[in-house]
This record gives sequence, C-alpha cells and structure tokens, in this order.
Amino acid sequence: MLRVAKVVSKACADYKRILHEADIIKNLKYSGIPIIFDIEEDKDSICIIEEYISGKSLSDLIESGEISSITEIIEIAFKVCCVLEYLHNYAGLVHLDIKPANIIIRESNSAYNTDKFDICIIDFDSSGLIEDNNQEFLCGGQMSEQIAATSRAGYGTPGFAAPEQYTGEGSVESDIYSVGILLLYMVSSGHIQSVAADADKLCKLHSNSVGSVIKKCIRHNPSQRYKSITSLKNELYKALKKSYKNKSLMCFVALKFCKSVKFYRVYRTFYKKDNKNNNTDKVHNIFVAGTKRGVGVTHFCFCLASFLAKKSKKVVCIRHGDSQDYRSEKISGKKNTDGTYSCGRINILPDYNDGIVCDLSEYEYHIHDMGSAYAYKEFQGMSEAEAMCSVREVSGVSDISGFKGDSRYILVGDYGYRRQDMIVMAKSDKETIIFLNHVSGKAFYECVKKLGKKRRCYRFPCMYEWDENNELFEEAVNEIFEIEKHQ
Amino acid sequence: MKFLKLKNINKRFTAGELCARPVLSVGIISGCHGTGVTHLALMAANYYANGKGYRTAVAECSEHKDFMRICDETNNMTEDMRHFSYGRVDYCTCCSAGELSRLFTGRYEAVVCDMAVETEENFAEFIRCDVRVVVCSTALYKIGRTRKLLQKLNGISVIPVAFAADIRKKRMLEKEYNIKIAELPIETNPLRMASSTLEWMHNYFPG
Repeated sequence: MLRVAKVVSKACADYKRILHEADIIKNLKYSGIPIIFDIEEDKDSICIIEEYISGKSLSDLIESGEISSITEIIEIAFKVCCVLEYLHNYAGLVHLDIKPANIIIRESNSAYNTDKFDICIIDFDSSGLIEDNNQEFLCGGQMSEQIAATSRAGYGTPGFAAPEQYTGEGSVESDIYSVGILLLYMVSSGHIQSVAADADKLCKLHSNSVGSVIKKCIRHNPSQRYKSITSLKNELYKALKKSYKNKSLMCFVALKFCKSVKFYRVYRTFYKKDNKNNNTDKVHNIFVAGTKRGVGVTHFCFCLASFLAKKSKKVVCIRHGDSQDYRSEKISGKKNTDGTYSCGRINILPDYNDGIVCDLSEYEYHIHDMGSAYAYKEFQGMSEAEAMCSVREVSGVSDISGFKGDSRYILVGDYGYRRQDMIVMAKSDKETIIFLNHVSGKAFYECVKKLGKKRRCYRFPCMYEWDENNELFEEAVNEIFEIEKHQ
Repeated sequence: MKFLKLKNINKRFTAGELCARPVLSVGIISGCHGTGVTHLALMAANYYANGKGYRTAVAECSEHKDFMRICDETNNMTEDMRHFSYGRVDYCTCCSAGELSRLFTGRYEAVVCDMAVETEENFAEFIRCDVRVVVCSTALYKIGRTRKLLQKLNGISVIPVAFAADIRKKRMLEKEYNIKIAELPIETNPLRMASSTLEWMHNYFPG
C-alpha cells in the first residue's frame, strides 16, 4: 500500500480544519474510508501520513460518460450507503458533505479484486458527531467556536447539502438527502436543472427502480425521508436485485414458460385458496380523527378509501359518532346486503351504534371515521388508550379492543389562528400520522417545525372530489403504507 | 318564492332547519298477548334510530311495564324509569294519551307505539298512525283473536306480519282477508339486529 505524507504549515488558514479531519479519520477503520497512519506535529507544521488513493472521482467518471447504466448507478449508491452505515451506526458520525467529487472510485491493481466499483469517501471536514440520545447532530463536533468559524462544519456543499444544513443543523437524514441528490446527479448524467422537476421526471422514467427512492430521499422535511441509512440501503438493494432480474428476465421467461405451465396452474389454485383464508385474518384498521369539527375528517376518509379502492383493495369507511354525514342524500348510494352503502368505488357504513351487527370480514381495510371525538378527549389530557375508550362512550363503539389486525392512527388538523389545534396535535401519540388541511406551504412548514422533526406530517392537498386523482395525496398514502410494510 | 330559492341554494347547510322530516308514527298492535309486539316495536325503534338515523322514541301504550324492565336490565337506574334513553332510542313507559301527543309534537322524527293487545282506547290511536303494523299469530289458541282484529281492520291499509307462523294457516289467513303476511326474521336480541334484518325492515317499514 502506497503512503503519502501531507505537510501543512500552521500559518495556513485551513490548518485547523485539516487537523480536525485527520483526527476524525484516524479512528475509523473501513475499506471505504482512507487510512491515516500517523499525525506528527512540530513548531511550524503538521505532517499527516495517510493512504494514497489512486483513482478517479465520481464526478469525473459521470462527466466522461463511463458510468451510465442504471445498474451501475444503483451499485455505486448502494456502496456509498454501506460506508455511511458504518459511519452512522458504528462510528457515531455524520459525513454531511456527500457529493460526487468526494467519492473516489479506486483503480483496481489486484487480480483478486473483482469488484468493479471500489469506492472511497473522502473529505471529512464537515462531519460531526451524533448525540446518542436523540440522534441530533452537534454542529462542528467537539470543535471550538474558532475552529467552527474557520471550517465549513455542518454546512456541506450547496446543491448537495440538505435544507436543514443551511441553518446549521444536520443529522443522519442530511446524509440521506445528499445520497438522494447524488443518485439524481448520476441518473441525470451530471446535469441537474431543478431538483424537484428532475426528480418528478426521473420518477416516471425509472418508476420501478430508483425514482421513488430519490423522491423520498430529497424530501424537504427530514422526518419524511428514510429513517435510517440502513433502510435506504435495503431499498437500493431491492432495486439492484430488480435491475439484475430485468436483464435476465427474458431468458428466464422463455426457459420457464415451456416447463412450468402445468406447475403454474397448480400454484394458482393454491395461491387462490391461501388468499381466501388470509383475507379475513388480515384487517388493517385505520382510525382517523380530527382536531375539531369541519376539519375534513370524512373527506379525508373518503379520499383514502377511494385511493385504496383504485388499488383493488376492499375498503369500507365506518362512521363512529352521531354525525349524519354518511346518511345524507348526496352520498347515500346503493344499499348492500351487508348493511353498507356503495358510493362509486367505495363502501360506507353509517354509525349503527351497535344496533345493527354487520359482517365486515370480507373488507381488507377498515377506515374508522372517528369525527372530532378523539381530539376532544385528547384535549382533556388523556392518553391515547383512554381517549379511544372515551370515543367508545361518545360514539357507542362497544368494544374498541376487539378490533382485529393492525391499527394506525391518523389525525387531521388545521394550523389556523386557534391554539387548540396545535395543542391537540402536539399532545397526540408520536405514532399518530398528522395530515394538515387548509394550510398554505408556509404555514405547513411552520407547523412541522413546531411539532418537531420526529413527527410524521403531511399536507392534505386540495381535493374537491374524493375520487379525483391527486399525485401528492397518492404519494403520501403510498409512503405511509410502504413504511408500514417495513415495520 | 324567494324563500324557496334560498332553500334550494342552501339546502345542504340548512337541511336541519328547513327540510326537517315530519314525525313518522308507527303503531304496532296484536289481537292477543305473546305475539311479539314489544319485540317488533324494539326492532322498529332500533331500525329507525340506528339504521336510518332518525331521532326516535318508543312509547309503551299499555300497562305491561316491560320498558321498566329494560331500564333495570340496562343499568339505567340513574334515570327516570318512565323516560330514559338507551342505544339512541328514548323510551317512554306507560304512556298516556297526553304524553303521546307531546311525543308527536316534540323533537322526534319517528315515534314507535307499542300498543300490545287491541283495546277500544288504543284502537283509535292505532288508526291515526302513519304506519300500521299488525302482528298475527297462527297458534291454535290465538288465531281466533287475530281473525277478529283483521276483520275489524278490513279496508284499512296495514302491514300484517308474523313470527314463525304455520305456513298453511298463514296462507289461509291471507286468502281469507286478501292480505300478504310477511314473515318476520328471527332476532334473539332486537337491540342488536343482523344486517339482513335491516334489509328486511328497509323493505317493509317506510320512512
């Protein structure tokens, strides 16, 4: 292994920054991180003895067009994630300056090394420590104010740095954002015009592989990005597998088709049987409540039900509480034998208050429209369980604990002049997903900031009809159900 | 005219005030005891209150005091035993004519009257109801009373129903009085009906 000695004069403006970087890398041992062998210091200068990395930077390779296929791009991003996983989970560090120029693809001199892309991440002068308790970034690590002023700690490179880094904050999610931009950079061959527009375009182009990953990585709100670099890595691994599969798919289909028609028929019968059995067991209960009356809980429920129905899911909206919304002339549709009403694609069940027992086992998704009762009780300082029990009293749901399957809670709120909404949202359980209705973009971000990074907040887009197609809403709901799958 | 125009424009928002439903009175009567009048009255009240979402009251227009026992069983003892609520239905025990008229002019959208056995006093009230239901029985010791009541109601439109009737005797009654007796679905608990019963009620009970 070749070594290089870097001598830096103490009179140099960047002296402290370089020393800080060397101090950080010194303790790291991973194939994707350069090795620092020693740091010597005398009166006038410091000497850093480090590994010599021969290769080209990722930006050079992209510009020269050496990397163009989607499989190669995903492979590189996957490897970057592996290095970042080591940094985040084992070294307790965040890099905060992931960009193509800081990723070196080593030249392979060894005959044994069959790895096409042996990557190495350099430039650790922006990196910092992660606090153990709440994973928050200590800006500039343990440096003094003077060092922080001279270095670029926590700020990264414009264009690749996450929005929160511009305000001096940085976290694991900031690295995730940078990986997203890196992917975008590679897919667009180094020509990013506008982040949002390009991401949209690419999502349509590569919808089955990286498009959705990029979109999720570069969310403005850190809480809406991937929760950890590991989950991003897993997602890229899936995309990588899929992309390899696509290559050999034609051969696979041709080979298998002749042999397995008979087998397929047998498999299909079993699969159908299995599906029939499992359908009744797997019920997804989604409880939706509002912070106050008229915030759009019923509209949200119908939009959600319509979206799921479009995905060929069997959905029923169940109303709890005294409201007559579900019985109004406008929405009361064709009456079914199971007590529900069909309104276009969705089925709704008015609140029968236990007076009429309906068999809803054929429905996969039960969306419980709780009205504003939940929030009313929550406002009185009760826990979620207590509040749900109180909902039972208010709405007459006899046995809330009897709901089978998994449960998810959604709170529809407003961020207006009334303080009550904010209190209810802040008090709600952390697992509760918040959808903000009737808010401008500015008010939404203000509210998200107040609620904290860890809360999952979405903006409920303007939808006049519940069965209309809205990309933003579909994206948000897709994300919620994807997250649930991982959990 | 102006008012109507306003009504059209704001129909959605003022439905409660402008388009309030007139009270629907449902009378349920039988020729003799033990035919299931109270059971059907509770089913009807449950249907209107929970199935249709109407503000519903059920009035006991007899002296048998079954509703007081409901109050006992449902631990509603804190309330006035003569007027209590359970499962969105307001119960009125041993209802006098004056109380009944107050129910009809009150805030209710449906009032179900459990008339029990036909008498001179409650027959006039039964005739005044919008929906008239007669519970028939084909049992040997009850069919005579049922015949008598159906004769009395000849020419008046009623909904004849029966619980677990003998098919032959039922057909005989149908032929005799030119009526169609509906077979009531069996519900062990009238306050927790199956959705199929809801469908049945939807077909037979107007409103």
